[in-house]
Amino acid sequence: MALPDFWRQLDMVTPEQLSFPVTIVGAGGIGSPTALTLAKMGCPQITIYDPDTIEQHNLPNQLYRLADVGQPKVKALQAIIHEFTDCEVNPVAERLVEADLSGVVISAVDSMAERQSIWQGSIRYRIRVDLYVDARMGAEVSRVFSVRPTDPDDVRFYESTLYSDLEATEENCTARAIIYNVLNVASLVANIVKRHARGEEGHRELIFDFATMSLLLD
Amino acid sequence: MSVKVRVVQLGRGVIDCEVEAGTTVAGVLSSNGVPLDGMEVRVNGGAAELDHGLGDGDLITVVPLIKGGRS
Repeated sequence: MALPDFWRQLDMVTPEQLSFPVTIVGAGGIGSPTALTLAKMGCPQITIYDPDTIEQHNLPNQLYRLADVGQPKVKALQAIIHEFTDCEVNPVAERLVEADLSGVVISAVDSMAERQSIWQGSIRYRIRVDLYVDARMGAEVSRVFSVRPTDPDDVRFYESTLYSDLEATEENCTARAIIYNVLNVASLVANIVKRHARGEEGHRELIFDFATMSLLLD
Repeated sequence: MSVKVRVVQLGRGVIDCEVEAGTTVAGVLSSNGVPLDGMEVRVNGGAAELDHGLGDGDLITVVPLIKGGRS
């Protein structure tokens, strides 16, 4: 089997610079393309948590194939990534409750309660987690937060964004996700991971909106 | 004296309007039918109170408190 040759991107990021573990919580709209993007970019080891199975309504805006319907998302995603890359994928068909994580952790879940649980249980002031990325989307808008979990300023800022599910906007079931937005979020997250790998300055919040073609940075 | 302000309602669209100087953020949003439930409001990129008085060229951004990701 041929192995990937990364020479087209070596001036931007090398596989050696990406040699940290990555954990993605959620293998749906944001998580599935993000996992493949990071694997293609050269991340060598990705653990993916998600208890769900693939349903027909997941096909238009997630990475899955028609034949994957009914399969556990993490297993199908592992198979897809193995078709495209030599990345080592560790699929965990469970919700993340509390875990001793390290490296880069990416939240790609669907509720603020779950974000609170991930943050409190596995991220906040955990010294082995170097970077936490929380990606959120609704219709054509996305917000991506980058946090160093042991930096008190980052912690304060991020906790100010943990509004409750009651405070959040509830999009109609028919306006929650569209493929170009999830692919865009995957790109934003991959760029954040690349910046982290190279020790470059990043932004603690990125907002992108296709409806007004706006990009906001903090 | 009237001033021009722009409202960028993320996920929806852009509204340009002319209002009396000092009109509040809440006044502009309400008169243009912009809902505030599940939203945060920024003026010229920074956090702002709804009673903030607006000046010429001010930009109001209405940011939805989105939470999706897995579906």
